[in-house]
Amino acid sequence: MNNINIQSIAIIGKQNNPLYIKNFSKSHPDLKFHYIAHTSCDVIEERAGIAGSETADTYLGLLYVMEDLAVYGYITNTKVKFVVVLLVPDTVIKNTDMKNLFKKIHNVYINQVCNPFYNLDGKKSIISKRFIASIDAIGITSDDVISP
Amino acid sequence: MDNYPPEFILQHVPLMAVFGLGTARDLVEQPTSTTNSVQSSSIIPKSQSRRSSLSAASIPISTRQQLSRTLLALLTAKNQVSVWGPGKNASAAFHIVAVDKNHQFPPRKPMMRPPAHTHHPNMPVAHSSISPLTPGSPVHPDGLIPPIWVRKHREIIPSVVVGFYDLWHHTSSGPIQEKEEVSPVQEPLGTIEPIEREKDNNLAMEINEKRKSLLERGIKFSVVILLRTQNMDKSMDDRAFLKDQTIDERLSYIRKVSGLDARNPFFVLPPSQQGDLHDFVINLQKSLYDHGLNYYREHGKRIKKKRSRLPSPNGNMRPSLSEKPSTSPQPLSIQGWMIRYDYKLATFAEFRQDMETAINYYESAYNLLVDLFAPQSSITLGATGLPIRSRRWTEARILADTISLKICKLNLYIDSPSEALAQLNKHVSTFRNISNTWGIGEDTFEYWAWLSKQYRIFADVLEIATKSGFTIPDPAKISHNTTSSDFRFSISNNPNIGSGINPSMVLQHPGFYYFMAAKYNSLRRKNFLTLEKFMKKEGFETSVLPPQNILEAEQSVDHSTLTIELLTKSYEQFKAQKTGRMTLYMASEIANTYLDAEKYETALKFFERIAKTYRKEHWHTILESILRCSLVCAKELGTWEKVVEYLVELLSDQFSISNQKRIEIHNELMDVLFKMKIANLPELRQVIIDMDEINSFLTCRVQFKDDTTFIGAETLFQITFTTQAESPPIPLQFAFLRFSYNDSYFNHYFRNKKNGEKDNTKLEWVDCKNCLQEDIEGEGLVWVKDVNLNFSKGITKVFEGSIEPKESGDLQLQAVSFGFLTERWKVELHFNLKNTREEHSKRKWLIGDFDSKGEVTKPIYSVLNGTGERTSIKITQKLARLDIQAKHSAPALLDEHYPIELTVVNLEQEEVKAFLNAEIVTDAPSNSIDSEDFITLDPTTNVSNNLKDIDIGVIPAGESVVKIVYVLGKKSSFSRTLQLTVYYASTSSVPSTPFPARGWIEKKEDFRIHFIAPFVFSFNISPQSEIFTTGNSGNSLEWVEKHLLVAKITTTSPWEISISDIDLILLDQANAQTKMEIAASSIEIDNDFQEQELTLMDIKKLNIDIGLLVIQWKRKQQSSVVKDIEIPCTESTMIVPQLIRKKTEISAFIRIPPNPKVGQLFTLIYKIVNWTSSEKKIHVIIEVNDSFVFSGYKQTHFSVPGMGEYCFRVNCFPLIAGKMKLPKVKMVRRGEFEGDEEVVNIISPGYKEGIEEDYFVIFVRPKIEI
Amino acid sequence: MNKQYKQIGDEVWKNRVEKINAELFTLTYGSVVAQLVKDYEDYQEVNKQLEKMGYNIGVRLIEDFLARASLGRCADFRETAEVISKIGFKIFLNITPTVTNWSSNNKEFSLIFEENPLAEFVELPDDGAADELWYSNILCGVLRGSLEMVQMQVEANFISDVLRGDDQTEMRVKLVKYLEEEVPAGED
Repeated sequence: MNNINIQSIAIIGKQNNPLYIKNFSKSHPDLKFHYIAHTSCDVIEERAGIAGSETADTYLGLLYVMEDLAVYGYITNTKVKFVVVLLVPDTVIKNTDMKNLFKKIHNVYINQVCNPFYNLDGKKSIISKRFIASIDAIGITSDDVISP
Repeated sequence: MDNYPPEFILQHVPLMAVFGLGTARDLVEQPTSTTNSVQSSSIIPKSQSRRSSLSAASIPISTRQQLSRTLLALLTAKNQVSVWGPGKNASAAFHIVAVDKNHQFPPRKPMMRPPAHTHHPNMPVAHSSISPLTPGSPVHPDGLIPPIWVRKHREIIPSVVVGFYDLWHHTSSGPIQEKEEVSPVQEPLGTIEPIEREKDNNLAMEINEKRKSLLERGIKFSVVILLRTQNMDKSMDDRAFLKDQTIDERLSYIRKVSGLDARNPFFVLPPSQQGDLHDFVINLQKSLYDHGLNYYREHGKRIKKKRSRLPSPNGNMRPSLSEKPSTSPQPLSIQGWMIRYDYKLATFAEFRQDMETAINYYESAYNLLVDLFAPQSSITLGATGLPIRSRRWTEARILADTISLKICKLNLYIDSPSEALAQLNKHVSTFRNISNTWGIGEDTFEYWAWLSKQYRIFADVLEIATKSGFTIPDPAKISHNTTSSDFRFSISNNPNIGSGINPSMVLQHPGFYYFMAAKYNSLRRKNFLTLEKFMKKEGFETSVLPPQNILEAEQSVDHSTLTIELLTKSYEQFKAQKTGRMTLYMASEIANTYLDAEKYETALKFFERIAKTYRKEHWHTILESILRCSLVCAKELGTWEKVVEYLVELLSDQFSISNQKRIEIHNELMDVLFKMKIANLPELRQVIIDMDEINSFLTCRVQFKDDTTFIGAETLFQITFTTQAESPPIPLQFAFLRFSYNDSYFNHYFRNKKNGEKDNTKLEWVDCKNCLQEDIEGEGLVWVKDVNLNFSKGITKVFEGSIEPKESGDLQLQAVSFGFLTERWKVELHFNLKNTREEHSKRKWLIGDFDSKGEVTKPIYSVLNGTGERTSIKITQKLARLDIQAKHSAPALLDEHYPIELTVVNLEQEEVKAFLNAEIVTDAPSNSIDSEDFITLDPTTNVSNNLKDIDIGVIPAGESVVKIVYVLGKKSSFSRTLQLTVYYASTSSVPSTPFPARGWIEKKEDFRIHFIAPFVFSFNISPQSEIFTTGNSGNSLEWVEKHLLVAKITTTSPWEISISDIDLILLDQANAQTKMEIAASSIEIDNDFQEQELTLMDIKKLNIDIGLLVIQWKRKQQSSVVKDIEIPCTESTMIVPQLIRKKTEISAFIRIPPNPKVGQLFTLIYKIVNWTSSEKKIHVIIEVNDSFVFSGYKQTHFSVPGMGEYCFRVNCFPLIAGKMKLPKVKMVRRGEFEGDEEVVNIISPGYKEGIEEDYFVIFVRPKIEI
Repeated sequence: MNKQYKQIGDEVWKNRVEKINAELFTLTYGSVVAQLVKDYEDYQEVNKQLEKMGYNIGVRLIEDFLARASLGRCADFRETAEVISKIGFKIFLNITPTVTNWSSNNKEFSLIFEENPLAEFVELPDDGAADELWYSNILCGVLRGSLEMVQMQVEANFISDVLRGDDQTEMRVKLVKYLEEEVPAGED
């Protein structure tokens, strides 16, 4: 787990519209992660397309690596996509770790959806304080783990 | 990749030399593309060279020269001079060079003394010309390994040599020819001529020589004997020839003598076809391949031995190295030799296609080499690194790069992608560190240039690899072993079984690496630019500068173009992967590069193209950056319309930018619009920004209050504008607001009313009712009003207006646009309402009380029915509250003035002024133009078939008016339709303009009227009698004919009709004088008839128009509709049918005497008239019957003179009383010739009883009367 | 005697109540409120509606409640409060809000909700809802309705709610009057 250094977490709606994109990195600008999240949609849809048939697995593993960033993907059965961007370590990243990470994000998202006042079909990005706080929590903690 | 020595990069395959076929030069002359593949050392995909071999194959083989050419072509066709080898399981293939028959291969240097001393300078040893130990060699004294060395083995020293020889035969060229003549020609088959023996012997010797010389160089020699057709003695059949003993003997002899044992393969090539040659070439290589590999194995062994003899580098290291810096060139260090040997070992391993081994040696060479760069060597203790930028240093770097590339490539070659990638990472990271120590690290363009290059060549190799069938593993399937940190990896089908991945070891498709190369190249540019800036400064530290030549080289580089090229390569790769968004990303990178390179136009094109998708998918952050870049481009290009457009979109608070930034954008926009004085601007710039296409800071919703409305009724609409919570940051003053309808009559135009006090009302109601029509230039005639068009952020303005539709149909509000007007600009923010935006919220209508400033104090929304927007409204005719009734007594009779009583009832609340339009239309298909129907208000005048604008006066509310119209139907008794239109307006507001116009309300009503003809006529005309009379001028005959005209007139109408007069109007045809008496005394005739007799005189014509029957009539009691009004009689006219008379030659008339009695003789007189001038014979036959007795002949004949007459009498004696048939008298006119007969028709004018089946009937009275 | 009520409550909850899925319940209520907000666009109005609904529930629910809990008439309002908290809320929502802040005349008390199943997941939209909407207002209605059926006219309303950012959720319940003249037992 401690080699996971989250640079960004992105939640993407089913029409591939960004719902929330958070930049945890100190080196890269936000824009970079928006591009990454957007480009991920292709890979995710492709993977999901393949997986979709037999094993409807929501965890899609490593999508691609660009420069020093490794991009991981996850898609809910409602076609909402999560993207986590890591700093590439020179060690193996456990799938189980990544899966747990995504599960956490998924739960946060579920809570958000359960809020009766949250408009699902809106294309607006999520502004709920609670949601943002919990996503940040996920990003930060893992960040702290490696910081020392 | 091109600027590395190809020898270091290309794939190695065994080298074979062939002679006896001429050299490659010969090939050059012949125009086949084969030569290309022989010489060029550039990268050629196999496929291409194969094609060329085919083209070579299309040469006819007749002469020896052609044969050798073909062979040579085939042999050299598949030369593997490419980066990517033939592939693991490709067929054994040599790289083949053609040499001259007596070509001398470079002499092998004599075997070495124990190599322990090799490095010893003062040991007089002969070395290879390119050994560091040989002065004058490029690597003397301390070079590592020169490209030439590799070329030597690639191109010059073969592993196998094949000689092609001919078997001598008589016609062989050469001086022997003469001898040839001498010797007796015919030889017994199967015996070898001495001359042949002699030739063969020479050949054997020659071969033997070659063999020996090559053997000592360790090169395998092989021979191919080419048999020619001439070899087959006279017999042209080669199978026969193969059996031929003598040849076999000769061959085996040659083989024996030349000492070619089983190990040196010996081939015989009989004359053969293309295909066979091709196979031969393949087999030749196959069978020699192992020999080739062996050769390199031997070399390997040799080098291994040498390497093993090397002392450890730490041992006797030359002190000199460390002490005096390399002013005088130093011999190569032990470590150097190790690298040299390892590299050679690797090369030979590669030659013999043993990739694993090759990789190992390359790696060890690489590691040793890397160590040379370290400031303090870890292998040769105390040795310092190579002096930077020295010749050796540069060479070594090139070597390092190429070795690394080799390792990558060979790993791909043996399908271990991770290792390939790992090597790249290793290479990059090692040299990053080293470079930093050199001071040419990450802050110098040199480093980035180098890095970019590394990624680029890697990408290139990868691309070539994939092209030649290497497949990049699907990252989803890779999983790395968690525990071991080494680079082994395993493929597993399910990503979730695999414990995890090391992302840094996942090989991806070339696109990614090209992208990296591009990125690094742009960094290279950045660093170079900073350097240049730095150099501009006065008195900078020159020592930090790279050497001049490098600087100059760099200055000449067009970085941006290079970057774009790389990005484009990457773009292509991603495109191939069908990852559209990735390509978009590349496109944006390209665009940015163009922007940096100040190629604004191209950049802008790119930006605009990609912006669409990001906008569509709501990626606002990305869109913002694109817009900002586009903004820069647009400004640079001076396309200010675009500038405005971008600024407007950037205002939207979809983009999460600070309020401060937004204010800047706002101000910038205002400056462009109001302040900026741009030169070369046209007087007025028009921009229309479609707000639905961009992110708008303003939203617009339209509601008509109702779904439908009536003409002339006030119709309300509300248009709600809402600004975003954060935008516009500063209140925005629009110059005008326009509502455009599909009927421009209703277009509204609002000017901004500047009102002093800052209004910050959250929800404002703006009254747009009762505007005035004005003609605004540029707008035309529009409804104008001045309202407050000031918009600050987070507010809602509801514009409520009203319209009065003037005609029915659909009225749509098509567009709403806000506008800025300056002396230079007319900018419109355009909301297109035609394409409906889907909306599911309930329709709402703002009510609630407004204060003076229009601020809504207590907003209440009333919910209207339906959802979404209502931008159009259906306008219908206002329902006429008027009733029209018609009273009349159907059916109407033709020709009569048929009265219809119309009652118009006013159901309106107020009194109205009404007018009537009426028209009578026949159902007849015939068009109503030629219809003779009439409709009139006054029965005495017949006007036309329609009435227009009949004033039916003022009808008080609830009252009604009666109007009578008369309809006159003529001729056809079809039904008619009476079409009525009553239009009216309340007396208070009678429109000035005539109907149809706004203000009039109309009511339509149709009535069907059934018409029937009043009478039915039937006429019957029968001849009475005719006689000649002497006309008044005595000498002329006159013919008088009497006809009886019986007219039967039947009335069919259900109504009683009184006929005032019936009149036969005779046409004055030949001054006919008539007497008419109406039999029935009364003219009240109903279903009965009246007759008249007329006499016609002087018949010239056959058919005679008699005349018209005219009846004056009227309804007995007229329609209840009209009591007081006296309707005049109408007259119906009927044409009496013509009197038809047939012209005959002979007429016969019978006069039947009145009242015959039983037992009383009477005479029937037949008068026969001959109308012709010639005499006619008449034959008479009389049929008897039992009711009469008659005297005379049953058959007789007589003749009638021309224009004369004859009386024929028949005396009859009645036997029985009662109705009797007269005896039948048949008269036939005889003709001149056979068949020209005519039965004469006998008529009895005015005979009452009539005729029963051409018998005359007569009533015979009884004898006695009681 | 609180003890005893608690036992009753727990007992009934355990054995005599069919449970339903909490999320389903919460989401159902949530969507009801959200829809009201959409339709009325006026939080005050929404509060009213919720209260009415609650009232209609209350007047029916009380029967079921008495049947399950099989209780006699409460001696006084304090006892009522206990029953409401320990049994009422327990068996219907499986929570027991604390009863505190009694007014001196014992006619007014507060229910403090440490947890509120209704408000799970909920986050109020920041368009003023936080100042106007009482998300769980239906509960007030329930109390009013049910108590009215046992001859107590009360006013119940929230005075703070964690959803609004307050640090606790508090409902104020005030006895207006007993609807019958008969003096409840043990009042003297």
